[in-house]
Amino acid sequence: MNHGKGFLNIVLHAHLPFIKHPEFENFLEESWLFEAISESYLPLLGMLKRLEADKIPSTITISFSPTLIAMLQDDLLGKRYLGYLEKHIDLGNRELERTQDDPKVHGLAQMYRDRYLKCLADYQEYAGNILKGFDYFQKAGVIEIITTPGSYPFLPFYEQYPANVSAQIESAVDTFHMVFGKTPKGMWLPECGYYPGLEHHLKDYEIDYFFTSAHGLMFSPDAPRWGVFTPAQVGNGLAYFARDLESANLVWSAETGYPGDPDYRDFYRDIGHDLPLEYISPFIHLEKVRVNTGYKYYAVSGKGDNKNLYNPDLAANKVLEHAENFLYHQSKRIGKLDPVMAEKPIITCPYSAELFGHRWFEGIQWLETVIRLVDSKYGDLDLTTPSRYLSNSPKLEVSQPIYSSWGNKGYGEVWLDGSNDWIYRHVHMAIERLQELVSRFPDVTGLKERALNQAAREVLLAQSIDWPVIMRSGAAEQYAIQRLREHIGNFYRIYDAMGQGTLGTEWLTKVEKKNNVFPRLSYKVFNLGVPKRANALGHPYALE
Amino acid sequence: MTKEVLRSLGFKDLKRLVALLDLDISDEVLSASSDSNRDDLIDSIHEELEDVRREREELNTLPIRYQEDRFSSVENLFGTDLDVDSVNFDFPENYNVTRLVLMLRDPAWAFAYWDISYQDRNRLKDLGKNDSLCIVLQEQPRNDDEMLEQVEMPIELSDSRWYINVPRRGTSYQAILGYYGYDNEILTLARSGIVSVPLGTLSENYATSSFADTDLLLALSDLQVLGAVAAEEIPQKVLRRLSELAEL
Repeated sequence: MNHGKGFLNIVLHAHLPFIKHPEFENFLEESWLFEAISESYLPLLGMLKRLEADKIPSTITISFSPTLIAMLQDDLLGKRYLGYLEKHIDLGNRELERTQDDPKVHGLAQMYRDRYLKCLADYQEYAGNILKGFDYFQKAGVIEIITTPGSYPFLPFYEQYPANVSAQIESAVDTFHMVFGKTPKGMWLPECGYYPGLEHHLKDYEIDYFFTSAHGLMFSPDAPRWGVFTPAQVGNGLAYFARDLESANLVWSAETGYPGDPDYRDFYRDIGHDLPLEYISPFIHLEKVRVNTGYKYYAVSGKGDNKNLYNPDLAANKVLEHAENFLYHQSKRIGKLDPVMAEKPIITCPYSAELFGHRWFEGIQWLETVIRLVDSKYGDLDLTTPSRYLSNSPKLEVSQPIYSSWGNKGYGEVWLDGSNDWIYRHVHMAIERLQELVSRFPDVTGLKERALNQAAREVLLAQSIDWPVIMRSGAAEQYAIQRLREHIGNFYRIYDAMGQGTLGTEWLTKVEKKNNVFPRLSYKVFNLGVPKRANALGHPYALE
Repeated sequence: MTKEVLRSLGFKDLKRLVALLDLDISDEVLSASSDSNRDDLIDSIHEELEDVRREREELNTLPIRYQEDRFSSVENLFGTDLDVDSVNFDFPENYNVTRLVLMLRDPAWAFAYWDISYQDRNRLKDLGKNDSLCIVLQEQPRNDDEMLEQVEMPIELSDSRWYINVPRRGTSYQAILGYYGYDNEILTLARSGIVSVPLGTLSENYATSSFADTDLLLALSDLQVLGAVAAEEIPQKVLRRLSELAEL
């Protein structure tokens, strides 16, 4: 029962690029997944369990990207995660010994060691499939799970390849159905990247709603009267929720955002970098490359290297203060809107799931406190999810959002600048050549079908937004280039083999096992029968 | 990366960072691993990393910064020389087709890339037109009596991509890859698809509305924290109103 004057619509989008390297015993970038499971996903499940035990509905939305789902369900990565946990528990035991004469640090070491022990217990409880845990809460009706396009591409840069956009959506919907036994109602667009017309593809797959940036809606020529405080509908009836900037800024702002509070735990100071190599080497990459271990003993405190020891009690006080502050601001805004709006206002707050727990150590505590406070009627608002809100059939104004994103400067610059623009020549051409293969082999079976399906997977994986982001960041650039080389290279190996009739099973089987995303994807989705109309949107270029 | 972390690195690793960051450090400093050289190196690297960090913080909106930070910790810098996978594929410099693709980066800039097939290259050479190439950005007509914008850019045969300043917003463009004929007319080699450019400015619905509830909406929407390009597009009159409404 909703009693408040408006709604908070909290959305966590969980995504990591597909990183799996069976060819190496130990691969550095795979730890991104292990860190996220330990520090964000399992603690989020812990939060849901605690709230359920107290009969408090969580009422949040979580998006899982298909690449993340594939990794969370992968046996090899599951085994490696157990190895990661064992190593971190071992490090914790050694830290307990090393710090026994320093009670404060000792207490922190114990806190971390116990967290890893709990991760191990929880992971085993779910038999290595933590998505089952989230599915349980979805079926209980307390959270809503949605998805995001297959390999997490910036879709506006593929607007002129409609079959490819459909393939990205189909692979997402199919993966979702395989894991959760139903089709998703909502779609998180990577980095809120939207272009006019995308809604037609979403509707084809029975998606009910999506999200845009704030200016995607507010810069629309026919922007709705109440801006981001109500969802609107596109011409074809799909609803969309625009991101609220004020609530985002409270969490994201580098200067004033909650995670930067001096009492919170510092992300960067880690014993993997701080302790002597001879001590830490068994716990870092290949015993020589210093990496984060997760054991972090300092608080944000201030700028520079001299930081105070982390004090969980001080941080807990700040969590409560910040949760109350957040709700105070949102309630105040809702209180001003409610008297003049016909529908109850809704504030849409999307965040990266990995921000919570991993980057902002206290983030999950903060989220849990927000949920508990709302349940205790603190502030005059209720939590909702998009489907729940839409189920009350609110009257939605028709408004056409503009091309936009939540990236730097609001459009596509992050994924298209001098550092990464070269990739589109190759990715786009691979799409076109895949479509050429589809027209040459419209209905093959057996080995050829397997090969074409894998070719489609490789072309999709090459489009991951993470590769241009990494190239732009300047770090790990070679890894991103190598990944692009791998996917495009695998595609052309199949392309050439299909032409020459020289396809062998051994290589194909190896690649299928390695890049095992979208297992039910059919290459035929790349041929939707969309006519190539010269000079019209929907065709990449006109043929002279 | 803190100075403490840098101090924990060996001289060899520091030199690798100098190369990665493309720092201008004298050979004298790089050739001998004395304590003073080491300190100089650490100071230079730290200063550069701080500059990069500050610049990135100033430029980026936060979700993207978070995404980038995910990939930019010290372990990645040192993990990059691992032999990842031995896929034997080289990206070709040119595909043997003639095509032109136009992508809209933001309301102010479009990006075009193109390929010219060997056959067309040879044909251009035969015609003596291989130094007469151009890209033309053409506004697409919405009604009959409208004056349309057109931008022409001469290009070299060796060029393959270009950023184009979009002359007008709220309209559509198509690009042409072509060459100048003997009468200076443009002969087409390839056309791009059509891109639609948004106005990229606050909706007129709000900018011109005098309703009291629009004032309330603007006051509560926190538009000031939009990304830089977007924020520049909020009309001054609206910003003035926002500041007047700050006490609401």
